[in-house]
Amino acid sequence: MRWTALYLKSRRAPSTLVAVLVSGVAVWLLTRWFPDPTVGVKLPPLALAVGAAVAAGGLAGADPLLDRTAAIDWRTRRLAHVLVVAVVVVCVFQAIQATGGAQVIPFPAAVRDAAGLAGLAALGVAVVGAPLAWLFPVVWCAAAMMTPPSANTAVQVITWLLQPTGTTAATITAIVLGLGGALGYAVRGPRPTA
Amino acid sequence: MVRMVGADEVAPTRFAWQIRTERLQVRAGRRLAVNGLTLSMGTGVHGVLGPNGAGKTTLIRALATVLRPDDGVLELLGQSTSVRAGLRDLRRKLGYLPQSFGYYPRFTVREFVEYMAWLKEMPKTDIAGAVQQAIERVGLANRADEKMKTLSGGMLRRVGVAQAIVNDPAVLLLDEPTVGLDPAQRLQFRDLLRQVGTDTCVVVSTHLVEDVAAACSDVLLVDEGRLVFQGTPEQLTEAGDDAAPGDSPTERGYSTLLAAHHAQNGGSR
Amino acid sequence: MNGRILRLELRRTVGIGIAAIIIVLMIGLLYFHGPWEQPPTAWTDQWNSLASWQRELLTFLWPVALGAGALQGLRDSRSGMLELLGTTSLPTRRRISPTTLAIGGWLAVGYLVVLAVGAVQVAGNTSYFPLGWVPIALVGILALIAAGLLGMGLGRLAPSRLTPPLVAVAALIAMVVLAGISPLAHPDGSMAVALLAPGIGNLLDPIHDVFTTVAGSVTLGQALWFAGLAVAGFVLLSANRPLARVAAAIPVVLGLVAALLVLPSNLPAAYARDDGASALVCADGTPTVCVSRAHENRLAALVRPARDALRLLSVLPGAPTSVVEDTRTDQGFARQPLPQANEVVLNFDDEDFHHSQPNLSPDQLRLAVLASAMAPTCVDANTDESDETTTARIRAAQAVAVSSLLGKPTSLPSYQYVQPQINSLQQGAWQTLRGLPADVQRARVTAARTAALTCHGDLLTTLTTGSA
Repeated sequence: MRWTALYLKSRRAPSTLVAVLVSGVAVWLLTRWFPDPTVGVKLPPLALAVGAAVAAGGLAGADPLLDRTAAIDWRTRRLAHVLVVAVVVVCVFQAIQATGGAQVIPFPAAVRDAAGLAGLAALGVAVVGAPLAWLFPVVWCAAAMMTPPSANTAVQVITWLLQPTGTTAATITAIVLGLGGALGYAVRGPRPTA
Repeated sequence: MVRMVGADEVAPTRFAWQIRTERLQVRAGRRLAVNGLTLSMGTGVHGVLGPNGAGKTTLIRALATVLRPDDGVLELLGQSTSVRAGLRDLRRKLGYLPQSFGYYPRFTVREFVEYMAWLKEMPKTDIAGAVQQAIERVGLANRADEKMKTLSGGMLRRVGVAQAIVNDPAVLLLDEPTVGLDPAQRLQFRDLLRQVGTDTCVVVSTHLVEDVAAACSDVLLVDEGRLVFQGTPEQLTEAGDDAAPGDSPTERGYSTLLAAHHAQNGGSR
Repeated sequence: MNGRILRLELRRTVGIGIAAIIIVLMIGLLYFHGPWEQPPTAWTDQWNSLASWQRELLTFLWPVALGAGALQGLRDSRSGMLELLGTTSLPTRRRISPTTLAIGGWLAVGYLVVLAVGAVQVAGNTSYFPLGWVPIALVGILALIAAGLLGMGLGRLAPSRLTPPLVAVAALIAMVVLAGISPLAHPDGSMAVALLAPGIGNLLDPIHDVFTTVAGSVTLGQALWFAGLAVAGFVLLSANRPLARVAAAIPVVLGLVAALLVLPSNLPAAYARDDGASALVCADGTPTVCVSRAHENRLAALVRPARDALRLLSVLPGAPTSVVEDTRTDQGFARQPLPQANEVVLNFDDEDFHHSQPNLSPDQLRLAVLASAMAPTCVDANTDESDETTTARIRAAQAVAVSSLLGKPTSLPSYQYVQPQINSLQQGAWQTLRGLPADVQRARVTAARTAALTCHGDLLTTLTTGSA
């Protein structure tokens, strides 16, 4: 238990959690205040994206190279961390929805989005390092927000975050991103940044 | 090298001491870490000794104009640091190595020292030469064009010293400069200190007593924010009681004086 | 300013990486068509299109630039330099100048490289060279620099590793919300606020013809607003005391107020018709063949096939006698009257012309003119474009009518995903029509053309049964 607590602290979990919570609530309030359909559809996934973007910075310790020298098996721990990020993001989002009394995104879609976004964030940490990892979920979100809806598969892949539950292309994209990102990060570890 | 000599450089010195404090009080957070310190320092190497938490770093930070004195007088180069107007001029003549020395990891050694020289407003034409000289003096000439993130702890410390001396400061403040240096480098560093100390007021904070004995012309012993002793290393040695703990005469002098100071204050520690 | 230090910062800041990101993402989205269902050449058709399409993409890259700026703004605190910097003599404003110049410079370079890639293509696509696009592009660069500076200021104001992602997502949310209050959602509402976004403010409906440009008031208002943000960023960066940081609000408020005073509050006023681009240029001789000045370089190749097409059409009663490019715009302007029956109206952007593809063969051009003659552009506006069946029926009818004129089965270029449907509809109708006597065929085609001109009825039914 103590080990976990120390690990979480080294990954700056408390401040990350607070940021996830506060930004989630903020976006949710905006959603309520802005019932416009064109906007209303897009904002809730952004609440999830905030979580993933913020949590990305926590996927590396202060010194990735020092962490690499540690004897423990980081791979399972890293995998678990990505999973925890996805779960926490979903839970926070569900909690906000439940408290607010309105289900903006159905639960399966929220799980899909959070899993894919967490994977993207993990991929970012592995490829560009923790300080810039937020670019991955943010850039993808921005691309999705800008793309007009269409039945075209390529468009469905790009806008996977915005697709209704059960859209095959979106589900597959989320699984690929989630698994690929988590595994890539688990194996390679965070890219060292100075 | 030919360079322009500014009017202020040839002007006669108008102060007796480079550093002068009187009943100086400085807070570190809420604690009064420097509490009524009165001292004067001129040209030479001044070693500030004291146990952990004695207020050494707080004193140096106040001297470096990082912290504002809470009370009392602090004059650098004959000028009070509470007068904002003169601060910029004063800072041009300061060299400072903080205890936790931050740096830009993506800069090379040369770039970093050059950047600091620019921040200290050195004349443009002098910078390149001064940078090279400073890097050579700390023995990093062969690593000058490597990025700082590739350097070891001891090398970073030497870059810290290089940036502090690059502007040929009138007051050089070094907080724990020998941390991470290997024995050979420490010897080299002592030489550097003695050299610089011939025309500069150097203040070195350390808890390594032997560094002080070897390189300083003047020793200040600080405890609980107060000045316990100021004198030459020889005087420090002489103050030593043979029964006091310590492996060298200097260390024994250090322990004796500290113990006496504690006794005086009712053994508060 | 010290040149060596500027060069140093150009090499060592995040700027170079951000420029690379801008170039890769922008070109990726523009050059490879991207997810927009726009012809790939919409970007490079004309100088105004070039400038305004790139502006649209800022909706997407502005938040990224803001976040990257914030990361740069964290440098001093992240690397523990604050204490040492505090003891140096150079005033903060001068200390940050090279850094801001480096970041701003790289952002501008990123934007300009993309602009240059497009410009090379525009130069080959049109001989019309207006100067109105320059301010549009300059405001884009200013907006991007403002994002970088503001981000740096915010990073210095709130030195936390959470700042870059949070400001980036916050900006993205602002973009989505601003796009949401665009006139598409609220046709009668004020859109001045929506125009504060670095895109032209009409995210979901970008300018997609070459005859429309951004109104000067929009450019001016946005320039004021982003200048305010850039100054605010600089103030935040150079301020050393809390009160001075609060002062950063002043340029923001001033910029905002000035912008809202200048920005138009309704959609039509946000766009301006580019009269230079839409002026008609006609070929010598008769029958009349005219194109817009923006497409002047296509005229030479078009004249002969267009006149051939008119000759083929002349067998129809009330046949058109001239070919004119459609220079109507569908953005914010009242629709102009439907085209006259006596002219063929061309739209280079539509599928007949392979979506504005240059260098079509004379046969392709003749076919395009014939197809254009059969169904004027009103069809697109009056049908639900997402309704594939309607689209396919219209297209099939055009193909059958052209086949009848040419006396052989002919297919027209179409979107691939409706092509199979069109083919089967076309084959059935062609079998019916080809068996009829020539004069009946001509009557049917004329009827279909009349129906299309007045936007009534189903063209395919008219062709096969003679009644709507």
